[in-house]
Amino acid sequence: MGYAMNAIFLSASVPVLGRGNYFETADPFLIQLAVREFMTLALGRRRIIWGGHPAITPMVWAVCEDLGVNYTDAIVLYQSRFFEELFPEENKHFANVTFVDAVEGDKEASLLAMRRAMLSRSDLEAAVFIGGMEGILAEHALFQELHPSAKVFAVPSPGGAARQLAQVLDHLSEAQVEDVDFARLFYDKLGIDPNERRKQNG
Amino acid sequence: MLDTPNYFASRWTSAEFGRALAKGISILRVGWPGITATARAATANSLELLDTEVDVASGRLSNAALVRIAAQVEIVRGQSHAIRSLNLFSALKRDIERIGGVVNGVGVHNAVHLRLPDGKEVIAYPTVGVPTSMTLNEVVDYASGKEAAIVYDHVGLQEKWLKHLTWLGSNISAARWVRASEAAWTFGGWGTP
Repeated sequence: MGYAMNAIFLSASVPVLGRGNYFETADPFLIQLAVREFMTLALGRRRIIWGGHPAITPMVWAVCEDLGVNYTDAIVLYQSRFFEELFPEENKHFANVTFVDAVEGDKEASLLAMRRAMLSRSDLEAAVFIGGMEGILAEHALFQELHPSAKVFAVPSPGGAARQLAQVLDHLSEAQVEDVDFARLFYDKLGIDPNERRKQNG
Repeated sequence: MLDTPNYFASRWTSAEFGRALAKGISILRVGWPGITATARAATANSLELLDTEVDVASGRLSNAALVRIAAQVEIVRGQSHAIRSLNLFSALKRDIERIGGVVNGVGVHNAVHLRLPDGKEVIAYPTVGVPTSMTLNEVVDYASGKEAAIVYDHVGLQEKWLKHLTWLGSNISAARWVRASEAAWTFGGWGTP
């Protein structure tokens, strides 16, 4: 059993062409860097709850390793068995994977079951949204329903659905939409103390 | 990254790719003709080679392709360096203020003048990328006898290189090496070795 620690839900993915207009505003590098800055501040200080992403999971694993954080406990990965054939190789590094049963033949219902299992955790104190497509909007709505008083931070500059969400939630100025000072933004929005010791390996 | 068939099937190229992402380095994916980008390369900036840009006999790329790649690399490199510099400085400022210190200002050679909670003044030099003994040499020269620190991001650096930096730090005390992810803790205890 792991240590007691509040958790943050991370929803991050890279928009692809042909699914809504999310691709138009997306900057893949800013998505990468925003996730990285979030991880370097939060890892070992808050448990990270997320659904994984083929382009981001390998980076998360490497950052855990370099910070000396016990990734089997610092991160909880949720996966729907509906996508079993697509699980990335790096999943095997995360011992803390919760597999949620698929709803046979129904992708949307399987996704909803996985999201409900992931977001109904009682230890969630905040949610962070980076990049993404329609799934971000669905996850935000469910998170708000289940945790109405928790903090929500949609990072605008990397674009995608998270930018649209940020514009609705925070009524941002143009400069705020373009803000790439992730180190300050995550600290201001999440209130994680950079002087707090991380839970390290061993 | 030259995205050829089975790029991610190799343990080494996969590991290099993951480590570059962890280091915060922006990646330019150059797609070999006919190779479609996989979801794993989704965070990379992408450029596709045309059939006409590859000489099949020699395997060489045409000059036009090289010009395109060089121009795109410079765009990607410039953006990456600027944003990583901003975030390294911002995280340092945030951490110093959190422990009750002050950033007095920024001078030449990116010298960040700090006043720590006990009143001690230290010059910090945030360094993007992989710091070397040359970095130490320059910082010691720039600081002109004042207490100095090289603030670097150790995430993504090889274990062997980190050991080398630790060795430099324990044998040459003219400046201290500070990991960015531990800056609050290290500067908070600056006077207690």
